[in-house]
Amino acid sequence: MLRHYLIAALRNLARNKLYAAINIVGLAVGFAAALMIALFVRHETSYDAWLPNASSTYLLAMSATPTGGVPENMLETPADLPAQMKLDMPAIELIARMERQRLAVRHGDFEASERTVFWADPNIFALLQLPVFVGDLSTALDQPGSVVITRKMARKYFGKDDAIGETLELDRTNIVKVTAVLQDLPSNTNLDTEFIISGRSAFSDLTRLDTRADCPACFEDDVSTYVRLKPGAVIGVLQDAMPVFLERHKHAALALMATRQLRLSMSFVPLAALHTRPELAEYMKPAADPTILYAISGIGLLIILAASINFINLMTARAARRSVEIGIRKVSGARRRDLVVQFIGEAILYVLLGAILAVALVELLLPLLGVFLNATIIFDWWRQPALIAVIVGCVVVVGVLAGSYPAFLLSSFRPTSVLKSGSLSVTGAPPVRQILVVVQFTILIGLIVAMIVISHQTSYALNEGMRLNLDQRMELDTAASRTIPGSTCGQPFRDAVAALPGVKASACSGPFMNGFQDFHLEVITEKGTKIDAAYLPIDYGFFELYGLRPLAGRFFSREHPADAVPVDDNNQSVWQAPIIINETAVRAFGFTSAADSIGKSVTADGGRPGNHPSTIIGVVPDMALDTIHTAILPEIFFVDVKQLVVLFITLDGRNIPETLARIDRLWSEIGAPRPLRHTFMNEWVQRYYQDVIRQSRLVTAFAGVALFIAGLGLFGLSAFTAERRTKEIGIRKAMGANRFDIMKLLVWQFAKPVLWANLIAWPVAWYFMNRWLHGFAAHVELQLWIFAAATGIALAIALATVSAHAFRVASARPVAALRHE
Amino acid sequence: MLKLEAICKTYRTTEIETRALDDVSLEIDAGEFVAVMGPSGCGKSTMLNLLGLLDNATSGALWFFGEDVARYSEDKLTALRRAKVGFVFQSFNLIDDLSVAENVEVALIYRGVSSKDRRRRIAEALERVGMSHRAKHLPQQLSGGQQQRVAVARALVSEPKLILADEPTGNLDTANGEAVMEMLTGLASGGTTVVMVTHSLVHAAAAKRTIKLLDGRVVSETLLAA
Repeated sequence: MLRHYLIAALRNLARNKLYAAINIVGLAVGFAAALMIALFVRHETSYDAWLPNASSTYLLAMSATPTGGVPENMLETPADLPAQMKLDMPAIELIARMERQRLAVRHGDFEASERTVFWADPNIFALLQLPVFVGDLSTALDQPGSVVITRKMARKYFGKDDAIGETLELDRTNIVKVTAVLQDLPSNTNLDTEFIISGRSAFSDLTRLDTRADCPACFEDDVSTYVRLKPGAVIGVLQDAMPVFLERHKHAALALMATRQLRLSMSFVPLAALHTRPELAEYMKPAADPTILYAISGIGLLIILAASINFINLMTARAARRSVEIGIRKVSGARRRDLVVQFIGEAILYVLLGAILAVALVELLLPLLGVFLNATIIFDWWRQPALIAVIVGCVVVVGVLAGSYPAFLLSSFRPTSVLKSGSLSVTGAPPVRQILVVVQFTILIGLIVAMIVISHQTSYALNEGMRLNLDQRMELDTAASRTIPGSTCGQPFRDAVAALPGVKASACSGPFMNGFQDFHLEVITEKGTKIDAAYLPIDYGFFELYGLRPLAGRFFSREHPADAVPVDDNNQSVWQAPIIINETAVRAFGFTSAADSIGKSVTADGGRPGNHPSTIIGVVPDMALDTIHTAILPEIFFVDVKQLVVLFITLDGRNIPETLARIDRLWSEIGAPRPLRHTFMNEWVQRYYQDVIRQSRLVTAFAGVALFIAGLGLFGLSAFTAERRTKEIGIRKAMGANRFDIMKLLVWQFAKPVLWANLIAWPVAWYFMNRWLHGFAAHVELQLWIFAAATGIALAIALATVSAHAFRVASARPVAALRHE
Repeated sequence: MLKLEAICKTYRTTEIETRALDDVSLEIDAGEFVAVMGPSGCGKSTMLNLLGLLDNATSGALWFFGEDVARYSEDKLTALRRAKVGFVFQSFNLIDDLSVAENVEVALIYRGVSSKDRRRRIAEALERVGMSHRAKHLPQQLSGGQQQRVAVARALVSEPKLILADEPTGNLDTANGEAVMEMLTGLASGGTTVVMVTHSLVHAAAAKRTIKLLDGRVVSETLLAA
């Protein structure tokens, strides 16, 4: 019997090639998209879970909570904690530190500024069991001056994979020797490390931290502390012991925190959970937002739903075609159950063919997806029985779900009525089909809204949201020049750069752009209110460089010598100079308007001797100085040449390589110890906003898939409808309907579900997109045009897919239609 | 009013070529009631389709109300058909999803009649065929005779100059067949040209002229004395 069913199914498939193709292609594309989403989600949720013993490995996190405020989370801890913890806490099997430092790495004539350099305790590889290519990791970092690098770096610096015994020069001063080479790390790791240098080296920053006399500000250390628990140990116990531990050691950080009225707490974050905890401070790579992962998984399910709806619609629509077969089977003694089994079996066959095609499609598209997402996504189904089981399980579930309704509908036909007329009209099916088409368009319109909102927000975040013109703007790190006596912001390098023909403007600031909101102080207003604000030491011409204009008052100017922060007898800066504040500060400090604040004064870092009220001389527009998820803080700006480190320049856009080469030459002439690090601001923004860009790309791509599937289904359904209504069309034409009238009739039939779909899609999309947008400090508004555009696109797709059939049928001679019966 | 000159119509499938009409020439005057007879497959329906502009001839000329329409485009044919022709089919050809009144309305919609006028004319037409009480029913709920009356109402509601009836009584019992014939005779006497294909000698007798076709050719024309 099974063979019989299979033959019937395959012949039916072969006889209805168009419908079979639409079904199978729709299912294949749907499955492929869902599979890629699943692989992506697996990639995002498997960060470092692949490391041996990942489940008992933790990273120490710290959070500082102001009284009644929001905690500030840090994944860096004081450098002196681990040694004490190891002694005090027997549950800890291993504890090791890593510290990132940006260094210039040189071999021979080749030199590059590397972001992925880490100092580490020698036992780091016992804790983080990274895959080794050559060498012995257990002893690799025992000797001072030893370094472990990845194969990629081995090839980059030495042109070969086995680089053991080779040497590298750090910041043109210290020599390290390669003792082991790591395999290149997969993309699902937070360990963004290419160079791991022994912390025992005399020139190591860990050594510097370990040998300093005391550390009143040691909670500002940038050390990552990894912990491995002994088997059987419970992390909660350790967690609970931390406050007592800190108390007992009267850790210096505690005292400092107390003076700043911050409550310090420590916690252990499982290594494998780090990537999906965006509320923690940004780790080595930007974290994945679990809500986004859920949303993308949801889109995957919606895509499968859309493909299943196609299947149900086309199956039931074609039901009448198989009525004779059903009638004969019933007359021959088939029970309803037999027919249900037959049709569900057929559905599973279709889904299976779709799934096989999907696997092939994924194999084909995976490299593309990798480039698209900037990640190495692995699809190793042949090595993973679990993955095969999941795919087969999905085939059965989707097959049964999608096959059930057509199966029950088809099996319900009365054999007499079927055989008497030779066909039958499937009562009850058209409304269900209509509803399913409405559901499909609801999905479609919802996804298009999401697509528009996300790309709108992304472009807003990258452009207007910044409020800074970053085109041709570049930041140069002059920190290395501080070793040169009397040099601020790289002077005289800075003046030489400013004089270059390709450089249009230059100005300095304290931190890099991504640190503009990092430094806080307390501001006391004239009414005595204390407000937490960010501060930023800047240079004359800083705002002008970014094309900003004062909202009120004026910007700093060399023509006003009093603008600069004065220096006291000990050559320390004194808070007494005029300040500029941003819009947010105007509101936070209680001024009614920008103009109202001019001439008023506030006191910065209140209470410290020597600080006097500072007069507000100007107001600058708010600018996005941090990720777009972070609210813009009240900010005060002042001129303090002693704190300037980063030089910002504007290029004129011509002969850029030549200008950059000249800048590098000027830098080497002042005798700085390492090459100049420069970054185009736009590059930096791209990197900083890559999660938003990635979300935007993903949603766009998958909404496109949903679009394709819905269009495909509609194409099939309209072909069927045109066929079903052939007689009616013939009659109408005989009655004088022309081509346009018929087109109108058919097209309207498919436009209606689109319009109904809006009733559901608009509010649902509004709800979700509104929530998504509120995750951003600055965001676009949900405007009506977005929804109207989504409807317009859906309508256009409906019309485009339907028109072809409608035109063909409408253009046929009416006699052909009438003879059709 | 209608003139066929050496009309040929052939149907081709991949394997065979069928000559449905072979060098047919004839004229039908305004207000005439013509019956077309002949065995199955002799080309009766093909001729009717050509007269109703539902199809194009393969060769020859067709004069339709003074215009040679043989080379007219589909759109032009539609416009002429819309203005001048009403159809009654053997299989009624009512649209299943539309009610009786809506089926009749189809003939008016494409002629751009206002909705108020449409309501009035539909009521009148249904009155004339005795189907007013069934205006809201769907075709499936009617008997064959009732469906054909609705089809007649649809044909006459637009007051066409030419009514083409393809075996209008073929699927009806005697009583219903008589009733339909009465309606057609009534229309013809009112000045409408009626061309009817039929197998029934009795019903053909109601026509002024009977044309007999065999294998696509006109074999005889009989004029009945009034």
